[in-house]
Amino acid sequence: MSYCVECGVRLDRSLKVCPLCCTPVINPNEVAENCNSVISAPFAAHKGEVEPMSKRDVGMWLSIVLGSTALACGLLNLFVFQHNRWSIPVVGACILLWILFCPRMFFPKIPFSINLLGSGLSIIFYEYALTLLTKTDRWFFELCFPITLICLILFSILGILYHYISHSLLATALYLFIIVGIMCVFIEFNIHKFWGSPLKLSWSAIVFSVCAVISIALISIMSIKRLRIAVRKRLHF
Amino acid sequence: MSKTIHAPKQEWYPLDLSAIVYPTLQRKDFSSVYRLSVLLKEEVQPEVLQKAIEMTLPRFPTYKVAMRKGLFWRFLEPNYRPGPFVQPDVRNFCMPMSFKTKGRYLLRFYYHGCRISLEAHHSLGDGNGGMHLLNTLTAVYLRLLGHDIPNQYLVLDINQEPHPEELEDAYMRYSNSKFCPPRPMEKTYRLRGTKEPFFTFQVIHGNMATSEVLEVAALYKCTLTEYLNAVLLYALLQKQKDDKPFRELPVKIAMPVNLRRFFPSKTLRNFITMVYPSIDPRLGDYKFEEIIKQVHHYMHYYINDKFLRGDITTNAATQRNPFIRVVPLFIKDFVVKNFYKRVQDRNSSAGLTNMGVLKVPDEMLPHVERFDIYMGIPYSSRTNCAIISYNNILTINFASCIKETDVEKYFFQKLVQDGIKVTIESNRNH
Repeated sequence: MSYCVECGVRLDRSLKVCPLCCTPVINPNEVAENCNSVISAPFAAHKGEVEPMSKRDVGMWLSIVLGSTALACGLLNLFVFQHNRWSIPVVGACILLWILFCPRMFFPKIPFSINLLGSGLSIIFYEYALTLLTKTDRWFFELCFPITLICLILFSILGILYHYISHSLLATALYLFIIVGIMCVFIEFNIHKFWGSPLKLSWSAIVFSVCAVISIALISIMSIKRLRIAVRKRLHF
Repeated sequence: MSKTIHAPKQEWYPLDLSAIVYPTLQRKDFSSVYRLSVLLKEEVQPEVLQKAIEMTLPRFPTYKVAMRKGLFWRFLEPNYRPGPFVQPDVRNFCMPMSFKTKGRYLLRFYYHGCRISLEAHHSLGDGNGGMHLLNTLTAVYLRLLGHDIPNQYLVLDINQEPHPEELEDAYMRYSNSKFCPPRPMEKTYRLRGTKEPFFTFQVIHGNMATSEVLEVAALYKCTLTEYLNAVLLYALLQKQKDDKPFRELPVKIAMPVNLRRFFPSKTLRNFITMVYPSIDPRLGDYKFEEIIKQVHHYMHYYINDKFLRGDITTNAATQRNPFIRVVPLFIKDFVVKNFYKRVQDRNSSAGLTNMGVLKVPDEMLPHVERFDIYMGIPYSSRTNCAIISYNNILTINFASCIKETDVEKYFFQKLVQDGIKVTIESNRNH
């Protein structure tokens, strides 16, 4: 049996490195023994899998509740309270909630990107359905649709960065500040365009500047490894 | 003629006071599962082990159950589905346990080489109850192999009906204090580290002679538990010093106390409460002897029947409150989860459980090498420590889901500095 020169503990024969301090185990006496014998490890080697949890029952219950609500309101609007199309927002909200929550309950392995795309498109269709209650649909095409589209694009980018680049607290904060800055600029830009006023940034420029400064600070912290580790330790996160 | 008391056949069991919290905290990367293992001196035969499980489990009706959800509370229902089945062991044990798969059982049995392992969800019972099950199972297994093992110590008679006390919620029996002592909650130092990929469970396991540890504890004029608590606090203080935080925070250990020592009960379900020995480095630099003194006096002050009775009465008062009883379960879940995440989990830096000295019938001694206990994956990124002693072998198991091993390193280095010979095993791949 070998000893760790750093920690002073005895190490089980199956260990090639001290698990406490990562000092490699080099014991010339044991090398010859190991060639001839198979060392049985005290722990199993293969990894088990966590059983997936099915939310199918909850999905079915939600589908029934939302479906019956939409149907009841639709029928009431059609046959009883016919003065205007008041059931459109209700039916639309039921469809929207179903698309937001239920697909992942029935198909847990559905990719995040498809889920996000479906949710975004359903929000856009719901907003379009609301134009049936208004005199004009200009507000949808010139204001609502561009803002929703940019939010969808930005959140898709957030999702991709979170899943494939980094999901640490600092990285997530960086993505969010960048997204908030860009979104505010775009929203003000669209508002000015909708009202026909000069395309001049005011409040969004301030928000963008603040977000930019914070993002630069976060990038500099994240790019220096020692600084990153020090910030995490000192701020207890 | 002695009258044998039998527990009435029950259609369902309410969750005991501790058990209410565990299913609520269930997440896909956290499950209140602990593991108990016995290392035999011969290879395990899985078919014989499966037969032993089928013979043993009916003796433990509160373990052969499924979790169900009611409108206001969860409850346990007898489970007549086939199983649980013995499986080959896995590297990442204490995996989350779904309530709706694998026959709805909240138990798992594994074998690997000479080791038999039992994993149980904490809503079934604590380590004491689980150890009764494991010891009885081991005795039945050895009997099937032809050895004669009597029913002594933690080995129960599988031909006997369970005693009603074994199924009771002992908290309710003893929660009758007139005053509930206040519970100071404060932010404590929380260990941070690089999280391992999902689902990786890292274990570092230290074996040593119990007599050596007792000698060292005697030199410091304290008990074994106090000594090991002090060593863990010392390791955590060292780690916090290395982090060089802007401001230091108190270091606290969450230590479960077996209430059966103070309140007689044969219950096999949960009957524990938590105490929190701590050191506040903001008051100054503590030497190791000072840490031991602090822990020693803390234990004497808090671990007595009066204080503990008040503590469990505080917990029981919540369950007895008529307004809380009628709150729907999903609201209770939301409140309990958030309370645990924002308050309870932040109230300690690490967990330490000491099962104490385990005794088995003399006829079992030649067949059993040692016992191990592993606390499950911690709720937040930190490390948990579990201690058990058997036949002069003290085993200390650290379980964590972070890459760094600084706390474990300081802990075992301190033991070695005090003259204790430690042997390390691990499933970490560096």
